[in-house]
Amino acid sequence: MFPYIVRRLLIAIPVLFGVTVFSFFIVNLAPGNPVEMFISPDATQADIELKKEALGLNDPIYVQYWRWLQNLLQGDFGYSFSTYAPVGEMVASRILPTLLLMGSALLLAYIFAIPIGVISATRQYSWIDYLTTGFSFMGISIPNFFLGLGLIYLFAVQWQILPSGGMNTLGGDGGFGDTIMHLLLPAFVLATGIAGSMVRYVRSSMLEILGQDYLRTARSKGLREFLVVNKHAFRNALIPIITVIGMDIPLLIGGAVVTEQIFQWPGLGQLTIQSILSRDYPTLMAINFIAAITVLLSNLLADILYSVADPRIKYN
Amino acid sequence: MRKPPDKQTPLLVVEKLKKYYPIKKGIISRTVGHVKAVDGIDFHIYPGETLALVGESGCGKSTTGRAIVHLEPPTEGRVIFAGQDMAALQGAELRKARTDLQIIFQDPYSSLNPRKRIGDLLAEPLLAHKLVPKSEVSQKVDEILEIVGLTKYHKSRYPHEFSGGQRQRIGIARALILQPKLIVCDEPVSALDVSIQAQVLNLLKDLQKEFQLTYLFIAHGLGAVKYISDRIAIMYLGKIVELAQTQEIFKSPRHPYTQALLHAYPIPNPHLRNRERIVMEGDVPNPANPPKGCRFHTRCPFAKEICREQAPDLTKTAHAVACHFPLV
Amino acid sequence: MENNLLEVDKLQVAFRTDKGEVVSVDEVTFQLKQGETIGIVGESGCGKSVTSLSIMRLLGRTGLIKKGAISFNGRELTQLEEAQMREIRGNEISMIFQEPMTSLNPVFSIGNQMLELIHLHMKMSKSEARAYAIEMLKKVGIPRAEQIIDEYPHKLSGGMRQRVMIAMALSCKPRLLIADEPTTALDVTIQAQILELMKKLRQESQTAIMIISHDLGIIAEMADKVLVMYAGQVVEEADVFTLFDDPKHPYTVGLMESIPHLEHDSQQKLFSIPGTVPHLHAMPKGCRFHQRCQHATEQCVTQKPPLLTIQGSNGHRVRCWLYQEEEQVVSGYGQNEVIA
Repeated sequence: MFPYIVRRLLIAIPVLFGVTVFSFFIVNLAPGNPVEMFISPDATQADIELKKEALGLNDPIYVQYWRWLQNLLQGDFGYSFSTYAPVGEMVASRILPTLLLMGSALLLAYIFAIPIGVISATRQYSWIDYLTTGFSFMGISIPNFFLGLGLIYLFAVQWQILPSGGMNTLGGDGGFGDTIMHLLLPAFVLATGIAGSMVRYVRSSMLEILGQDYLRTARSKGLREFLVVNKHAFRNALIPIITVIGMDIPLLIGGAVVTEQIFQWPGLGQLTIQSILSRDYPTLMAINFIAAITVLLSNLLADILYSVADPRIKYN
Repeated sequence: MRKPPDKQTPLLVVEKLKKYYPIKKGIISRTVGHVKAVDGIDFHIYPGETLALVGESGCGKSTTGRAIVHLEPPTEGRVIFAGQDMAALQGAELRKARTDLQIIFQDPYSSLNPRKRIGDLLAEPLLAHKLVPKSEVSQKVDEILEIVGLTKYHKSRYPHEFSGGQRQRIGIARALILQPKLIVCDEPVSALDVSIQAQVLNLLKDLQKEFQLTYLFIAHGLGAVKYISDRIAIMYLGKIVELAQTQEIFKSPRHPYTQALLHAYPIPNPHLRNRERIVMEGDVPNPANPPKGCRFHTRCPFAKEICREQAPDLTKTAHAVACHFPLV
Repeated sequence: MENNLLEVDKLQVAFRTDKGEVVSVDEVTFQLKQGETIGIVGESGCGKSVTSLSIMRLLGRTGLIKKGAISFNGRELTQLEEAQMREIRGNEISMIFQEPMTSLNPVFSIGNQMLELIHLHMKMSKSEARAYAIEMLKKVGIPRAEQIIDEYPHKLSGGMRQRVMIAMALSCKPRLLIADEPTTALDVTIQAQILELMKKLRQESQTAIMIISHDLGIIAEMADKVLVMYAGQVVEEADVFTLFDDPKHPYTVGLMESIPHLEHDSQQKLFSIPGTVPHLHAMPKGCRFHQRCQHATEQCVTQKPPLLTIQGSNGHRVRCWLYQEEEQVVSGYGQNEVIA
């Protein structure tokens, strides 16, 4: 197991390097430049040139990249072009809200989706199955911005029982209960899409397992159907589901761009939009870099979980 | 049985054939060993003859068959077909050799594309090898269906509409339509019901006579083999342990493994149920790590010191056996 | 009929499909005594597995017992509640299956799967149950049982897994063991080991065995009496010696002729039964075998033959019009007559 993890981490290094090169060049290909975005409208061409020179934007792109990489290797993400704050700190302050939002969305989605998927599979072609199939497709296909705006209209505008955005009430005590109230709507919006596809995965994975010989063996022992399904079948169905969970984890970081924007949630997604709009290259690069690491690590995590769930899989 | 074909030249010669699969391990996946699926076997088959390759799972019999029809290139050794080394062939010659060498699989269903009609499945090899003009393809397909005991009305059907026995007939038709010289039959009746097995075996035997076919017949049991083969090679853990005329194998097996196989076979006669017999203990060892010396010594009731040390060679006699202490 | 452990009477089993209900097993009747071994032989789709699964009442969501009775140890299984049936499964009747490779759950250890059963039906402490499981594994010839109990199924060979299945099946000392093609997926030498093991355990335990197989060789080795099934019906029933010495039904005869015998000299041409087994959706009227039978008459085409008892025999029954009257029995008709 250990050599396998080491090998995977070693492979991750060139991949990560490739991702940074690729995204650095892509980001720089975007039209417009940061200086024009934040300098005052009456600045002269000379002022702009001066500013560009100071930020190093006149250097060839590979020189810029090399500088960025050198700083990164020293743990320095640079300074934001738009706020002049250190990018590392900016991003760090955004990670927690995003983790909180996405974590609760995933948890909410799985808590409902997994049992529903199991029930749907054990009662294939029953009205319950058709009903959950219908709802899960709705969950997948309704766009988050639409659902989000609809819920804001109902809960915040019409009934006024939940806040419309932000993470804490302005001027409030900023307590945990307050945060939860702010969390409910965006987490629910995000959970619908994740839950919809999860129900589908669990259902099809269970259906595949339900025909297996070892379930007949379990029944022939005199085991109750509940245990046959939830112990013997589900442990096996879990194995392919782990892959899906592994693919969901990267969403934790920066996956909720649209939803965070709608609900004014101070997370990485919102920061992403802001830094794109202001051509804030250092911030964008930092977000990309963190996202790439999350993807690689969560894939590794999924593979490790695989071998925990399935004793037949041994890495060496 | 056919007379010993002494003056003929063999159609197929297999020389020191080896097929190893690497086992990889560690951070840089270096090869730490090999599964020796086939570990240096020699045999030949004369035109019109049926040689059976018999052994338990993991003995390398199917790998041998696949190596012969070029599905998996051998690690070492040569496959000489009609006097030509298969590894040296290229272009048109290789294509010709490939039509001459065909294979029938155990599970015909998984080897037939479920989305294609039988007519198209059978026409495919003809069109690919451009053996007959396009206008004659359809007629040729009708003929071949007739030959294997189906009708031309089956052409528009899909594989799932057929029973196991019928699918195997389709598998045979697909091999036969290229007019091959040698067919590797890889457990063609193992998955079929008893009464259907007999039908397919009879068909194979009739076709052999009609088209002067040569068979390499791979099987895990001795039942079907006794009926169809002229000679039998018994394989164990990648090596041939005995090779002789069919009747010799059954009447006077010389390798203890062959004898154990014969003893293990349940006889459909309840009066013989309490007969004396040797039941072999233990499982087949792992081919990645075969026992030293004679590979059978771990399960052999007669093993002595030398068997643990030194691997016996297959004798060059008509009734060949690889054993230090062959049975009489 | 006294002292029968199992009595199956005119069992009819059907499955719901898209095309409506199909009857898969029809009019199956047989009895089994304590300690006796019955062999059920037939080709795929003849209903032999369905018969055994209906005794366990494990026909799944689509299968149902339409008619007939299954009396086990004085209790009518078809009338039992599901909870009562669970008491019997794995405890009084247990089962081993064809595919040892897929019959054990790959994600639980051998011990976990054995202890689950032992705790379900026997009152034992954790350590007692574990010791008992190890003892059972040793009994079926598993080397290093103390270590193997903590292994996962994929670490074992097919033969070893089937031994585990047998150990598990015999754990609760069942009165009936159903073995559905227990050696079909195994190599011949391993098959011989498993059959020897079953014989040995049978002697020790006096468990009645129902062995299902397509292989007449295995039936001849193991069974005391035999049912031959074809297209969902019993076509012949006799004790094993009578059946092999003097088979009556043309299907039984054909089946015996079509196996290549190892102890005979090679045949030039194997006998084969022409045609294929009829489809469940399209069972022929009259005798279900008539389309493949060389002896079929007008009567066979139109009328269903009943299971007739051969006069003067000890319970030799055959479902064939050829034997409707004693005088009509073709003398010497049997294994030696060439029908081809």
